[in-house]
Amino acid sequence: MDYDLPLDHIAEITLIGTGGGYGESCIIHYGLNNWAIVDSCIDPTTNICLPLAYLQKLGIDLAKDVKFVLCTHWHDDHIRGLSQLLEKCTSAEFHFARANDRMKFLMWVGLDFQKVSQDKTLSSTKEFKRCVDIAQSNKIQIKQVNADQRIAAIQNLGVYIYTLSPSPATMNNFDHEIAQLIDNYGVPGIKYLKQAPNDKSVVLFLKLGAHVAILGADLEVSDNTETGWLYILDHSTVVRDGSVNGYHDRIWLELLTDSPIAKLTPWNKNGGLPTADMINKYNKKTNKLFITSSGKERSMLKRDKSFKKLTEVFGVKIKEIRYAYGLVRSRIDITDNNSKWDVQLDGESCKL
Amino acid sequence: MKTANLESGISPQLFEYDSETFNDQQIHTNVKNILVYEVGHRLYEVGHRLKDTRGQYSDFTEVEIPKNPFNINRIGKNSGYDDRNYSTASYSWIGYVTSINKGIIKANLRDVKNNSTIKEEMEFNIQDLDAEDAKMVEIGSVFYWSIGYSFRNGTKRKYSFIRLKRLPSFSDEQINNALEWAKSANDNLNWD
Repeated sequence: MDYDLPLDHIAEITLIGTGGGYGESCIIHYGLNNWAIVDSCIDPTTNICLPLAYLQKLGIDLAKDVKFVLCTHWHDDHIRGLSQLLEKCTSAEFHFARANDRMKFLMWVGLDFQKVSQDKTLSSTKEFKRCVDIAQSNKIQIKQVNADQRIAAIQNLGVYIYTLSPSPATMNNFDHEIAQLIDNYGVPGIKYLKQAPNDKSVVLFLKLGAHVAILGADLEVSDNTETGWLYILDHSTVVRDGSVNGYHDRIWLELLTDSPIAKLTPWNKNGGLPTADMINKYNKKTNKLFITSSGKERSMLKRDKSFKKLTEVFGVKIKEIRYAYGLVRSRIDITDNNSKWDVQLDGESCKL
Repeated sequence: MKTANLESGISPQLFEYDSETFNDQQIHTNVKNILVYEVGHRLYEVGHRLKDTRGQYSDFTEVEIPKNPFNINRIGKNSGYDDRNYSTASYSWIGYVTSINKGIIKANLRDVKNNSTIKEEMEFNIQDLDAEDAKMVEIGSVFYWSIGYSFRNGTKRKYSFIRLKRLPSFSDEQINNALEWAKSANDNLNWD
């Protein structure tokens, strides 16, 4: 794949994956050398921030050309390296999901940080707090986002970027949840784990001239029509075709055109995602399905011979969460209504 | 025991430590007794021993020396130290529980002995925890796991030790720190 800069009228959406467990990131060029970074991930073997490395390879002026860095949700697999991005992208705004009760939200971050600051374990709270600290010292503009906001535009190109979530109901629920989190997870020996379904993530809708894309950001479908994807499906009127990395029949039927480009990153913890059943479902909807790396059987991390014996004796199953770099890049001419997405692959990415 | 690492003429002494002050030594948070030696005003860890499910102390586990000094309370000199009975932790992890289903616990791990950034996933039976920990364990529980070899009267045995992290509730100072940080971020950031 060539690491060439796109021309001013060429839009780019690049998905970087790490094999699951180490995160994902999406890089957007929305015209005229305006760039945005959505979430971040690192190479765990080097701690290099992968979206940063990609943009440096392209030769982007990070301090000037990156307009915003958006944290869709601060799960471990979406936030690693975000502080490195904010340090380099000095003129970028920092966007994340709105908390109505901002002080309570910050208090929760502060308390969770007190809990994990001594730990050598990686923690999304540590990373998020570092981002807030950098934003404070570098006077970075913070934008708390929620559904139906326009966060970027280049009007003469017909380019608009909107948020489709989180919904008002989700934000109200989040206020209550923070109070409960302080009570329930304020115990120092307990790590806060993500709650399911994820309805707090920021989904983006990109209108790039006549072309559109949706960045799904792990948003899930809940039973509540006022939250998650059902809120978007019932309330949003702006979305049409593009790319999506979540699954619900209505998304494909109501929001997307036939056989859109779909990009996935795998999740290789626990049972692993996507499942074969999910891939079958996707393949029935599109013949342009890409994944940043295919699921390979996980194995035990290589250690000396005694290790395997020891784990066998004690009946413990232990497997490495494998790092697998993959990149799926798609570019399209914003000014040409008939232009088709040009998809390029790098690393372990492949077509499914 | 690598007593050879000790400087000549220095005898290790048995101490009791305050777990709150021992956070930098992650894998030893629940250690009750610790064997140290003293050089000048600095104390260095030689080994430690753990309480088993019957409330009895294990043999001493050898650790690398020197370690950072920490606040401990002396309880005796040379008591309990036996160079024929000790353990070596070959591997040590810190982890947190991600699921508990029908007595099977799944957890994510990080190798602290090698300071690895590669994540691992572990599955073990709840019965591998001691009774007290089995009652306490829940999703999100942070724990330490070490496996290695113990030596008792010249006989080598394998051992595996899983222990939930225990820390006191937030101190007033920690709550104040969190509040101060939150106020500063709320007041000083360029919010939209």
